Amino acid sequence: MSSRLIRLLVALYPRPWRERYDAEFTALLEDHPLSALDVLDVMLGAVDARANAYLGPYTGPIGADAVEALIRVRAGTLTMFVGYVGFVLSGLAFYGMVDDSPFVPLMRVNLPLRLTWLSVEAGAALALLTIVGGGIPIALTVLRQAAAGRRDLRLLVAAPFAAAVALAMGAVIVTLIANGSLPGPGSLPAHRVAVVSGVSGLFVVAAALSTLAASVAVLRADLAPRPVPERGGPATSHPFALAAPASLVGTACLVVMLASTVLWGLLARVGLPGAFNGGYPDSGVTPLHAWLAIVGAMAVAATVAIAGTFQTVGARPRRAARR
Amino acid sequence: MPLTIGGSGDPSLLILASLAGGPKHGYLIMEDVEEVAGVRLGPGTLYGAIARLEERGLIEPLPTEERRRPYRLTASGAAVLAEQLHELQRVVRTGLQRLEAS
Repeated sequence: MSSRLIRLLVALYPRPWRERYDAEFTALLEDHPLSALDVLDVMLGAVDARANAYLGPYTGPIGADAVEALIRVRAGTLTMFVGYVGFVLSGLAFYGMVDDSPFVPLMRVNLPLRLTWLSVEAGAALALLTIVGGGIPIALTVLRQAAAGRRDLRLLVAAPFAAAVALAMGAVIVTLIANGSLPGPGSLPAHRVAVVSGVSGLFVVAAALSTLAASVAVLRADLAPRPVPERGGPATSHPFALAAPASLVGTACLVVMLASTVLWGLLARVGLPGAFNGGYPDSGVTPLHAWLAIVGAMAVAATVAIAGTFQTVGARPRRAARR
Repeated sequence: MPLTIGGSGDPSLLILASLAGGPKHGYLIMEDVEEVAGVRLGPGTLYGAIARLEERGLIEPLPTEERRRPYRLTASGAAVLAEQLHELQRVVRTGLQRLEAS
């Protein structure tokens, strides 16, 4: 097998793993013929090594440097998550602005405008998948500890569900009022706008409280790896093993979505200047103002996510201290 | 993949059993395991298991010899191997007794 292919295969492994095993692993691959199954085995080994963070040879209790690194990873991951949630809220506002607007028919005939919109949608889907994928091990760890009797974690985990139920009930009541089924201002445009704004505000508050509860749950849960030299589970794998790649991909998606949203606004303004600069009849808010506010909120959220991702990616245990 | 020692085909157990015969580097472990157990460990599987065993202090590296690094069992590794082999032995003995009784 060519040394170039071997270098490529070894490069699939995470840096800490390579620092430790690169020379001998490369020698093993070079010293005997590799079948296609061996190549597949090496690739699966790289996936395994990335899914189970390698923290170094066992040296007794988990080193202080590794614990400090995990604390930084946890803080960075939560910061990125907060930025992501902020971006999602901004994205929903963007969707609300475009939905059922004159820009929808314009996007059918204006290819560049449609492509920027599709880019936002694709970025949103990929970011969601990435965040869910990276967050599942963390969520499962918190849920397991909540199920094992941690009352504080149970309350914190229940908070987002309680907020969702409260919000759904509020939305039903508002809908009934708007339809005239319950006493209220009914279909008066000014009141309808006020009610919609109120529900949107409640939604933002519920999302913020849910994010806060989830973050506190992660901060309070015992997420440190356990040294188990004799038997049992993996000694140093931890629920933040996928945090760095998930944060990187998720943040890249946010940046692409932000750029696409900016581009969308510029194209929409050129394509339909009257509608873009004019006001919605009910509220008086122009799409231009809404777009500027949304882009501003997205930029702040993306900056928070970038800062968190830098912290996560930069927080690696110092190798020398583990040897 | 978490390390689970407990089956006769488990890579970690096979590596520990191989190193019970003396220090070996990766390629020798592969050959020994194939010869003794009839199981061919792929390079990725082998080094995934070696990394986990080393992380848990069950094996330890010796000085490198021409780019190859031999490993040997630690005291903890020998104890875990003995415990797992006794467990397997108990299962085998019970199974054989039940077969003979039926």
